[in-house]
Amino acid sequence: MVDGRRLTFRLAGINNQNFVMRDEQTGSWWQQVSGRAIEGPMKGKRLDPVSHDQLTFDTWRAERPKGRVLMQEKAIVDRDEYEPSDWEDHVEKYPVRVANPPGGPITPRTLVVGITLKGKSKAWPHASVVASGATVDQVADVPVLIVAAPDGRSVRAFDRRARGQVLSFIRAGRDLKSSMLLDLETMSEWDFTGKAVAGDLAGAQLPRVEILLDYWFDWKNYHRDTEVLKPWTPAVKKKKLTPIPKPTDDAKLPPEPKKAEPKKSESKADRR
Amino acid sequence: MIRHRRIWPLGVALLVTIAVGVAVIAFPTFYIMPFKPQKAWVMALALQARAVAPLVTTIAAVLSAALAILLAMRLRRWWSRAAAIVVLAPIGLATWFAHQNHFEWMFNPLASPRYVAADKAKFVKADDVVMAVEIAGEAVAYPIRQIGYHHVINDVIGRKPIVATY
Repeated sequence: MVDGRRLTFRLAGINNQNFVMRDEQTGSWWQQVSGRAIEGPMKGKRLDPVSHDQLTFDTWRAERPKGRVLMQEKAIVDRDEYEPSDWEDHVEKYPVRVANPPGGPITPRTLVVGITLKGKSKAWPHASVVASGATVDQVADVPVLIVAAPDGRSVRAFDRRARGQVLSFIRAGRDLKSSMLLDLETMSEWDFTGKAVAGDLAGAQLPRVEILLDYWFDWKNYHRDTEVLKPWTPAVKKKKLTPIPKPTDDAKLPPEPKKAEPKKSESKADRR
Repeated sequence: MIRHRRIWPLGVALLVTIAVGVAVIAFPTFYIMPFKPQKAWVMALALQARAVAPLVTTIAAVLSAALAILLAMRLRRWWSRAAAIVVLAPIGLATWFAHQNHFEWMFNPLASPRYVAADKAKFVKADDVVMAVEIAGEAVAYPIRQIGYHHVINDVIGRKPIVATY
């Protein structure tokens, strides 16, 4: 709905590898990633974003067992035109040809978790967020927590202020697949929905922060002043060791050193 | 000589009309393509051209047809008359194409999204990624493998009209 008008959208173009859609009612063109009309009678208007998640099916189904799933269309299934299971591996290999190449410390097709708050933008490589389990940071003056689910894919972000205090989080337990978080201030336990399930803060709910999972080049194109987490690199470069050559069959091995015979200890009594 | 003077202006007018009609659709079609960079100001021109292309090509087609007929009536040889008509083919094709949405040829739109209960969605694997939306207690999941095909899904969730995009 825009200005009280219900719009119906169609796929209608592409702009620096992000698609453009067009509404049937006014013929305006809208950029998908920003939700903003870039041409036509609605130019400048923006669609209100809807809160959403990108989760694995298992994780979503566990949270919403009574939810509904979009059905497949038989004709498209018969033509085998839906994306394959490993579609991300294919897309990773696509070239990036955009008017504003991103540059920066990460590759253009690195998947990032992007957050924009109070006009400030920041991005973290998705792989880094998943590896850490609990990423604690700040965007503008908002303390944020990015938490990864045990499935190794699903990610959510929260404002880490609860009941009047700013909390710091670590992943709980030795099991790296544990979804439980601990806050260092009260040692309360938190789950992937941002709810405290045990401890002094039990029942508290961290406010959600909207994230956008996007490729670095696309995120950078629409957030020109974004910060980005730099990938960790070792401070000291390991010296490359010269490999020891393997002896061939014809090589003569050096003679084994003669073993020294143990000296017999003689007491003065023995000498008599 | 007088005959030639009547023919040449008609011929030039015909070619110019056809060129304008073809250009107004060819320019956005070949500029707005995947894996090509688009500059903001050129993209704006391309979208404006695309917006007027159906009307402009239709006018150009009608005008071209009239000019071609007038030209053919003034030409003596049968092959020159035929050429005056055959030259209409590009503007005919351009007019037809201007009324199509070729992006939806490859990615068919989803007219009416249908749903199945989560426990019956056997076509979705456990580790497939879904885009999950919940509005007013109504929770739906759009498997990325499906929405990645359609790109745009107009829907109503929790009585709220939304468009899910990927």
